[in-house]
Amino acid sequence: MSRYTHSTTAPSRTYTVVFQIVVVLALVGLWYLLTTTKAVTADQLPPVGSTLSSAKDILTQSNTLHDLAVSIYELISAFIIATVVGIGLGFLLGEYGRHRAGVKRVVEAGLGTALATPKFIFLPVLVLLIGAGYWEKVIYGLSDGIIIMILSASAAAYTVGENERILAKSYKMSKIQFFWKVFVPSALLPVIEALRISMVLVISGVMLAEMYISNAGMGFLIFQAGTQDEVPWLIGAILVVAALAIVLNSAFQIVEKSIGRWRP
Amino acid sequence: MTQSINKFSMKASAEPNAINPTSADLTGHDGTVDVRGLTVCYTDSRKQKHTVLQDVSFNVPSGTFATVIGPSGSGKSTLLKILGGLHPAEAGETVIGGRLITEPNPDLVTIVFQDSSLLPWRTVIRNVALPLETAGVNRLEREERAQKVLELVGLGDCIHKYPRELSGGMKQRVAIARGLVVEPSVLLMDEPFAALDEQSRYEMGEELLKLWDRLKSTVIFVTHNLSEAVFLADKVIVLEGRPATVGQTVDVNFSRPRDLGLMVSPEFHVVRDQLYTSLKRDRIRSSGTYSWSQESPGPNGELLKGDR
Repeated sequence: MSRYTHSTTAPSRTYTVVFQIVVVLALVGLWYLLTTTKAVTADQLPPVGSTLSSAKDILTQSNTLHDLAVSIYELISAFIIATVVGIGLGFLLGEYGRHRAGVKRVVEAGLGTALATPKFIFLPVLVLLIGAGYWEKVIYGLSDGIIIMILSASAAAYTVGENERILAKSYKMSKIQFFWKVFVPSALLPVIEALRISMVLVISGVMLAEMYISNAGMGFLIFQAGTQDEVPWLIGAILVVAALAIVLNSAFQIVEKSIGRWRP
Repeated sequence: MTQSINKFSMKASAEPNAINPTSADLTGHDGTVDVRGLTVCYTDSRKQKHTVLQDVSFNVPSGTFATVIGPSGSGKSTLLKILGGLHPAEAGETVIGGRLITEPNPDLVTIVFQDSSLLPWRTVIRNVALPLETAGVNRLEREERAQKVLELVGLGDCIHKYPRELSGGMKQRVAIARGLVVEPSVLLMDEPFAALDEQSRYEMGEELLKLWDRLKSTVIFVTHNLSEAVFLADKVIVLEGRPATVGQTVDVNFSRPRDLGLMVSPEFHVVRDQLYTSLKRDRIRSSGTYSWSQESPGPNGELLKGDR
């Protein structure tokens, strides 16, 4: 075999998982090393043991479990609204844009500007306008996620090929048949990718809203722990939210991989 | 007998997605293609109207393998789209098996596209079964029929593969299988082997002929390759001029079954060169300036002078 021969095969799933575990263990090891050698103070970074203990408390104590439940409810509500409304509007925009490309460009430019604008600066205005309750946090939480969904679904719809459309026409597919047999499968993967990104944005949005306009939820817990110098609780709560995000992200990746088997 | 079959055809056309459920119903379909005075125009982005096809008329008897040749942009693919009911004509009419074609009739006419147009998220068998699925044929039956036709095109062992796992030739075979699964009376093929290398192209042509010998559907095959056109056809329809019309139809009477050996015979070259000369003359007439020089003679070394 030539020494110039090289493999272009993607790393296997096992490799990837082992690599991810090694990275996590290395970070925990570094954390352990920094705290045991007193390179950082306990105020800056609490020991691994006490932090994990705080995380465990969050997941077992009823008052903190309530915070977790509030956050999860808000996340689910925001995510469902962002998904349903975002995909619906995105598909409409993409299909409409096939005939009116100018309108599509203008709408997408507006959405792009909205996405680039930090929503945080509008939080006080939002509170003044609509108050500070459950739905306000949901609305704030979904604001970025829904824009990503609209833009991605629109792009996915727009790229459903002309060949596929002619093929469907030649088989005299009804609109419903075209939607389910051609349009949705063709757009599905980009939409699932967008769902994953949208989920991350929704988590960030909800956490931020909870920090500033709430008295419950994981964002509120993180904010409280931060202001009261409860560093083990602070890091513990962050770990719980991060774990939630990683689990959801991995779930989407698994779905994406399983659905996208046909991809080259 | 013919009358009763036509009655059935008319009944099927009244139901938009009706694909005949069994092969027994299909084998007797009349695949005669009758094109009368077709004129096709398109409007460009500056709202100017251009005529692509002008008064195109021809007849292809049922069970005939016809090829359509013509220069690039002569409207060959447009003609096929009209025959498939995908494109309206400005004037004239297309009648297939006694039915006036104004919309797609997937039970009567199917199209194999140039780029295979397989749905990448569907396995081979599910791609082939798509027309049956659209027509509401139950899963068991459609998979059985798809499997049968895939075996016919030599892909019986690839049914669970995805298009990305297939070569260009295999993809086209799947596309042909998808066209044949409804057992249509007429199969329209739009340069299906254009993306293949020359050797694969002729081998696929040979395989297509074997398949056609068994099925005997009417085939209308668009190509810009003269050798391919002559090798495959009973009848070659030549589109000439701008806007294009039928310049001539050439009957190709070589015996069947044919193999690739035919392509090196002198008789084959006579027919091929007849078409070549015809297209060349048309090109000269169209451009008004073209002439062959001694350095680039025609297929038989002849020298043609263009009209100046």
